[in-house]
Amino acid sequence: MKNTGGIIINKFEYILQNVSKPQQYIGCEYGLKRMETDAPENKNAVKVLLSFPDTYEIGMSNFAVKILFEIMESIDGVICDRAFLPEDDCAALMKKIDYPLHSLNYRIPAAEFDAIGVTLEYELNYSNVLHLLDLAGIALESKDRKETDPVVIAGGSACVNPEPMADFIDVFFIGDGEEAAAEICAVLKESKKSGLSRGERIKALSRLRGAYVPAYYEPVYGEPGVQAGIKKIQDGAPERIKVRTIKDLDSAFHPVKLIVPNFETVFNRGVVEIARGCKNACRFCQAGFIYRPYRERSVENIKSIIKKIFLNTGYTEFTLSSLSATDHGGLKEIINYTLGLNEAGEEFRGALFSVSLPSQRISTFSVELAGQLSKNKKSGLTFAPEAGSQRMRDVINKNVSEQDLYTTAEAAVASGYRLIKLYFMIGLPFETDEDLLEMARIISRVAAIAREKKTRGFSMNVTFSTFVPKPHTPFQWARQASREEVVRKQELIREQLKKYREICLKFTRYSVTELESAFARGSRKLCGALLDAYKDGCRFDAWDDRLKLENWRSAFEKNGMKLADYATREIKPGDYLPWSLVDTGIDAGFLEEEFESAEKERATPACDPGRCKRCGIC
Amino acid sequence: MQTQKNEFILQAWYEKNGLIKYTAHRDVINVFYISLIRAKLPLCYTEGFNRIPRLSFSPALSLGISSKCEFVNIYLNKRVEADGELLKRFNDAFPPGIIFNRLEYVETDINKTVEKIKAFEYRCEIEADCSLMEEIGEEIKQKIAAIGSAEKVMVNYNDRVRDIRPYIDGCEFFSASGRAGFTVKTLLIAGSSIKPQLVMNYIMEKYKEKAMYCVSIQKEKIIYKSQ
Repeated sequence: MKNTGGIIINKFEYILQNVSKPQQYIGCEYGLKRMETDAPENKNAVKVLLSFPDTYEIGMSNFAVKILFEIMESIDGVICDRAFLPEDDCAALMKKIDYPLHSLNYRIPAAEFDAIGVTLEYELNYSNVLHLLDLAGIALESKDRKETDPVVIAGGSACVNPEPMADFIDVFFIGDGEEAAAEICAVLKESKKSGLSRGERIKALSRLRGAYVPAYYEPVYGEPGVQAGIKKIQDGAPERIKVRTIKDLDSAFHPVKLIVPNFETVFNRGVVEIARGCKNACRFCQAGFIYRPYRERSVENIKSIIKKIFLNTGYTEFTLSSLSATDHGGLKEIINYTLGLNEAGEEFRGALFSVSLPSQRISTFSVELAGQLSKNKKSGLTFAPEAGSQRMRDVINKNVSEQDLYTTAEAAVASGYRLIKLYFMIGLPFETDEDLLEMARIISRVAAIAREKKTRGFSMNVTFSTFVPKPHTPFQWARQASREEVVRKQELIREQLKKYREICLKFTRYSVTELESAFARGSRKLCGALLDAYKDGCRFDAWDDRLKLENWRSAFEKNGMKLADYATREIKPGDYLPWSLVDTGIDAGFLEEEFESAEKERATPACDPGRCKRCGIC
Repeated sequence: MQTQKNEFILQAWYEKNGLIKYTAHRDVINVFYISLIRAKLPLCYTEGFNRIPRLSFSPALSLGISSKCEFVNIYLNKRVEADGELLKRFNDAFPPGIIFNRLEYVETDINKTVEKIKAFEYRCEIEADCSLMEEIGEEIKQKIAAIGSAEKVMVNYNDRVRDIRPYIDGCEFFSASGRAGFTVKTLLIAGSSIKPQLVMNYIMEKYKEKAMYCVSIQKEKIIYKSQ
């Protein structure tokens, strides 16, 4: 509010009246607790702000935010709220009229919270974290923060390599967050009660499992710019950070209250996490390694969660979330239960329930399931063979055969599907042109299946992403293909498939993956480049039309690096890895063995949780 | 109150207050779908593939305007007593800012209710720096007074110039407790009317770009043809 000598101008309303899509800034959703934050009993409450470094539409669809918010909001003595990034028009107006970022529900300035939690799930959101802190009026670098500033805490899958964000985050929490959330709140409450200083609060948090305080460590550089190790500079700091893992997913917290947005977000529906981790060990997939072991929720628990979500929110559309949903043993039963809920009692009558799956295995079972999910409308089926040749599928350990794909496509066409979407990856380690030609061949063969069956109106959307080497995977040492190589590979495929009018090809932009690759395997040295890029206007880098690659290149050069070289660098086995401080529980030698298996085109069987002891997790 | 199709039409009157006024009408419709499911009403659904609860809304309220008098017809397949308990069920099921105050069964579709409407009355308030208000207060007053006698009131709307005068049934200036503004009655002609913001834009045209001010617009009441 601005007091202008009589009339108070509400700056927030002024902003809402002068920006596009104001509904994303107002909160006012169903399902929120309404606390009197100014009430005397809340005077000493700990204020925690959960933020997501993107807009409301995206952030509100994030499952981690839903879990953490519901846990923290339920803790006595904690005031929990959310914040997301405003769009550019709003951010510019906020700066112009000197209105800092506020929390969504209670409209408390972000800088007045005791802690700000940031979800880091994607490297291209890193500049957005700086944008968020900047809008909040909080110093970007940890070392510059004042005693009264909130403790900036980060969590999320990208934290398995925390180093590129090390200068900006006070404490990282690495691994599953359900138990950590409650422990963090307990430490914050206790330290507030005891009147601990900011530094002491960070120290208290650092004692929790999975906590990493970058200020307690100092990177050691060998050759110019190449990190050769890390030195502990704080007594008592752990040698390695052990990733937190929820052992029994079935007894772990699952959100059932869920805030219901007032407008369409990316996923505005009931989300039920049916399993965590993945049995399949695709060698490029980071989630498949960092979320080990594979854990399932029981069918009865899932049914109960679905019922509670419906009764609390009114959601009738459910996503059964998992890295590979079709691997869940009770999937059919869960789907049948959900689709038949309208017969389950008076409170369900009339509602029309539907289920969606985020990923489907290449199998006729998936076609059967899809038919079950959409009895009346056959929209499209999506499959990810990832690689074209059997040789390459062995290299990446994608355990599907060419025949599986054809049989699945035949079943899909026979079931009335008119659209098949396929996902492939190019630029994979050990890939040759022959593999790409094979890829084009099997894509055209799928189209031929539809033609042979005289399927009218059939079309295929085929998306080709570019391989990005990720930490803690067997391909962490591999180089990313250069821009020239990728462009040539894309052209090769395009040339092979140009005569098929029913096949629509889509290639991801190399610039995006180049930046992703640099940060995914980056060291602490990238903090400087990130800061300079942000100051030069870089943000929303994940949005194709907003990525300012030239500014990024300049920022890298200013910090003595070349973006293209950094992204495509090959790391030799035995070289120091900036993320080796993080202990995911996987045996050090296992990833190397898997890399060797890839080189020898040797597939590894899927995980058999509890029985196989290969990776060291079980 | 029971239609031939064995449906019951429940007319629900509600206020739209606070920040939820910044939720667009098409999003409010979706809020109603999910909230009414939460309220566990025996809803009738539309036919077709994407079946949705059958609802009919009063003329759309523009973004950023609060209202004391919105209504919606809800089609039910079973009669539920329209009492205080049901009203509470409604208010518990909706997000903050949408407040129901009257429920009644009606026999005809929403067009019959809309046909009876002559105009809407809005209260439009300007919040600005005191010095700005002093500077512009008298001018606003004169401009509002001039609307009554003007033959045409031309405004820019969606990149074209439009005469909104035929829709204005009266516009009066007010000033109280350091606040200034006007009330305006906008006529509903052949089912359509104008956004009160257009009147506000016309009045504040000169200051739109150069001054920092907020507006607060509220639909105060519905004026019926019989009144």
